[in-house]
Amino acid sequence: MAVRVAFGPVIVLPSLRFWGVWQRHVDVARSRFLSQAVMPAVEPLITFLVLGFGLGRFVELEGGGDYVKFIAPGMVAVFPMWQAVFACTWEAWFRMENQRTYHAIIATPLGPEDVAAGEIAWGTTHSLLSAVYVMAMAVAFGAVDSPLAVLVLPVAILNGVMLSALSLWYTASVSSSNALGYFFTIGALPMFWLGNVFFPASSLPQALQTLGWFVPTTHTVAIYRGLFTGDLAWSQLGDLAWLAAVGAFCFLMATRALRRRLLV
Amino acid sequence: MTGGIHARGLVKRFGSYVAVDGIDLEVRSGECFGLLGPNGAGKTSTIRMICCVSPITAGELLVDGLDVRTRAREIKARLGVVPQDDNLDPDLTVEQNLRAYGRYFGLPRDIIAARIEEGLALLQLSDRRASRIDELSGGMKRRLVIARSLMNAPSMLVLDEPTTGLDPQARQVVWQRLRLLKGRGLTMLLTTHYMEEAANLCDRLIIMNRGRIVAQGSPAELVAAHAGRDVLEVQADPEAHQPLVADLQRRGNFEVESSGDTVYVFGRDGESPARLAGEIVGNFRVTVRQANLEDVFLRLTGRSLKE
Repeated sequence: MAVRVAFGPVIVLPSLRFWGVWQRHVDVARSRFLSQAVMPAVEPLITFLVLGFGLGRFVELEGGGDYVKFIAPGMVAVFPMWQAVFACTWEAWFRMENQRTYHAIIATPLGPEDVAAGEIAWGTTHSLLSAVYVMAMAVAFGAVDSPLAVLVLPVAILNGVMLSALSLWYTASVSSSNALGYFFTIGALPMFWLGNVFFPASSLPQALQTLGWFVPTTHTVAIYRGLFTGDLAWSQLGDLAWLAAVGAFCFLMATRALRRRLLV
Repeated sequence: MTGGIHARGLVKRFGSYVAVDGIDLEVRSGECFGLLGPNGAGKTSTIRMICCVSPITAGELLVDGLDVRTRAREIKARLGVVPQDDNLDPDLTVEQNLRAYGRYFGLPRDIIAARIEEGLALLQLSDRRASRIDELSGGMKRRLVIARSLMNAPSMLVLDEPTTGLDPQARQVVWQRLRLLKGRGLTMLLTTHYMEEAANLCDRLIIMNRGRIVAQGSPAELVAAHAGRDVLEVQADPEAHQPLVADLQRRGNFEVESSGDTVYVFGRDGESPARLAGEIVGNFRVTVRQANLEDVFLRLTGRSLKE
């Protein structure tokens, strides 16, 4: 039964024991490692080859430049995005509703806030692994020009947390698995296409550019572009602040949604 | 009051629906206490409040002397929970399920390892430690859930319908294991709608119906007080009940109840309805048997436990 019940203070922070949840996910992943690793390994590689080298031969960018170099920073942002989103939508839903894993966990000293932290940590782990992998590919294809690019990794963690939290917030709030599909069409796909990844956002109509500002990965891509080329501007600090603020907000909202759902 | 459970005026409301309507409960340390009642009686809602996974709407509830409203984490660290559905991890083996659960309590690795061995041995699952969950029978899954609930060496075990859905043999094995745990001094609280389970395991119990307590006491006390020693059962079509009931009531100091396709006759003031067995006219199936908790429930609520 869906119920409006007072569930306590607005901000509930997890305990350090949330790692137990993360460790459980690692145990499960170990038994499924090979089958799970295929998609995240193959997709970015194919995209680099097909779009970067295939389509790239026909693309002329304003100001010159290699198309592979243009899409690389965006790729490092969006493929991890898919990882975080999958982990915290379909997989989380399955654990929550079908397996009742969350219900088992909250019978122990862990609460819904710890489950949320564990899920977000796991989504971030998936996302970070993907980021490292796509980065390695970008380096291999000669797309990285600056040693500052190593700073992509800490930003990737922040990116992972933000996207996992956003996805989990959504998952914990909807009443059926059918609704999860909306997150992909209205949330994830625009991130993939409107975030200044495959073509300059400046070529889009103004309305879509404004919309792009609200797309989380737009800001990640902006930071990565700076780090890849070494051309950093103050605006990227603004992007970092955006990620941190939105990430923190989504984390709290995801916790709140899970508490409301589980503590009935 | 330390140890056990103390509840006063406990209420649970879901919107306008009252699941638990102001109950008082005392569970003493070391005893096996039962909540007996049909589906919808409020047993699971009560248990969930005790396990601190459901916020209480009103009233007072102390578990092991701690208030559920403020000390939930500490309470959960001391409880062992055996839920109604087996929410095991299907992607993990038997042993991995136990290990993952032990980690939620923040137990050190060596303690977890030791408790896994103890739990598997106690619940007779040692040779299944590497099995996946879908390879286990219903009874084994249940035993695994019980083993899991012992990982934190709880002072109190809470079981929600521990043998529902199990075949009679699996049920016996589970009861035997629970009696063993009881023998070790573990306080137990269980809910059930099977009167044999309540009679077999519980030292004391409450009978719940529609969110309220209708009776409490030990199984023997309840049966003696509300159902007498023997019960006469007459199986007859519902159409034949009315004249049959009237006839039986005329024959002596008896209470007669009718439910489904059976008429039950209870004795009052120590009189046994057994003598009526030979006196009933008509082609009915007549049985005389010992009174049990189901009869108590029927007498008190007019309903069958099995509904």
